[in-house]
Amino acid sequence: MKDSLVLLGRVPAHPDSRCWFLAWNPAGTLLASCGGDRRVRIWGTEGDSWICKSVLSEGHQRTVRKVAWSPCGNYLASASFDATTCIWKKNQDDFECVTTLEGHENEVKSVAWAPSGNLLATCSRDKSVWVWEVDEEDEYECVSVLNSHTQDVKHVVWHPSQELLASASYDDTVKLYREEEDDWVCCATLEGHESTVWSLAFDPSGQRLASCSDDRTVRIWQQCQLTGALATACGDDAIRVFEEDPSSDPQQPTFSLTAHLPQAHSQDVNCVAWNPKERGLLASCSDDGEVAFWKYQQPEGL
Amino acid sequence: MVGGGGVGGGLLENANPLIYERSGERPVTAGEEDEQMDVHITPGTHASEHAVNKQLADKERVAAALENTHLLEVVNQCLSARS
Repeated sequence: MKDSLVLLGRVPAHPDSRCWFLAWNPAGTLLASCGGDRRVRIWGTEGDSWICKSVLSEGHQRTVRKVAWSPCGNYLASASFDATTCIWKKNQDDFECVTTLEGHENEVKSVAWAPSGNLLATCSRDKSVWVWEVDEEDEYECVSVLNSHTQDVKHVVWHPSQELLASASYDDTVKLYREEEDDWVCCATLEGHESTVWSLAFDPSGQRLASCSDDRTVRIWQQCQLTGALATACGDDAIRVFEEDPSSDPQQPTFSLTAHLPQAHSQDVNCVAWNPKERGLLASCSDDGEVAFWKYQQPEGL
Repeated sequence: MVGGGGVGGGLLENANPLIYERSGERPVTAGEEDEQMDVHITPGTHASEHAVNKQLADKERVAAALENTHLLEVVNQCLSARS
């Protein structure tokens, strides 16, 4: 199982601080990283190595917690403990901060772009989820403040093809939201985790939602069927990959552990991200400030 | 001293953990093994043991709190330099 994940390289992405999150651009050619040094860095390949192509500084006064690329790949949003979200516009190798979204009362924990590119969601320790609309002139307007969670909201993610939003919280639940008659409403609450839900991911078809928690479980939620590998970043410094057993019932699937790499980093692994174009290319980042790149080989027989 | 932060039950649960030194005490350094460290949670300043433990175990909340503490120190240094 150790050979299923092969190290391709490491970079000291955020020296003397932690690297919190990673996001590949939609073309799979750039990786954005962010961290406790208040900076966002953009990484690209030069031959066989990964080099830093841009550093986005002067955007935030505190830790940058998450970054998200717009579906077109021309914009990057960064969410920070300074309670703001910056929108950066890409101009070749340079990025310029075009807007700063304010309003949350304290640390912004996550930001996500809807598949249409017209909507953005943010969430915060202030327990709220905000939905923002973007128009053709790059003007942002908050269209909804959702106060459904009872605690710190850790993560937001959009369905890959519908305007359906999911959020994960310190209150141990996952909530789903959609627009009904011009108002954004919470349309479902997923209960089951026994502690903080940290992160969420839809499968490419959008039929399943995976959530992970401080309760050390990953739960798969299905509304009414795809396979694809599921990678996890863990506080035990390891990276794991799970795949659905091909012979299991799609309504009651079983998953097997196909890769387990202990000591993937020297400290907690905070984030793993699959490259959207290159099959099997996985990036990970850690409290040790490093970003690592891995090649995943699907075991035979799957 | 470590606490749930702030005053009043329900509000504390949403605060980042409060980590501070009581004024007049010097910080304990690593070599002072024979010093006893008392950790008190001042009665009435937290909602419950579970709530405090959950906050303290939340790496993100602790990181944000420490960043706040650092910023406070910077502010205090600026203020004391001016007076």
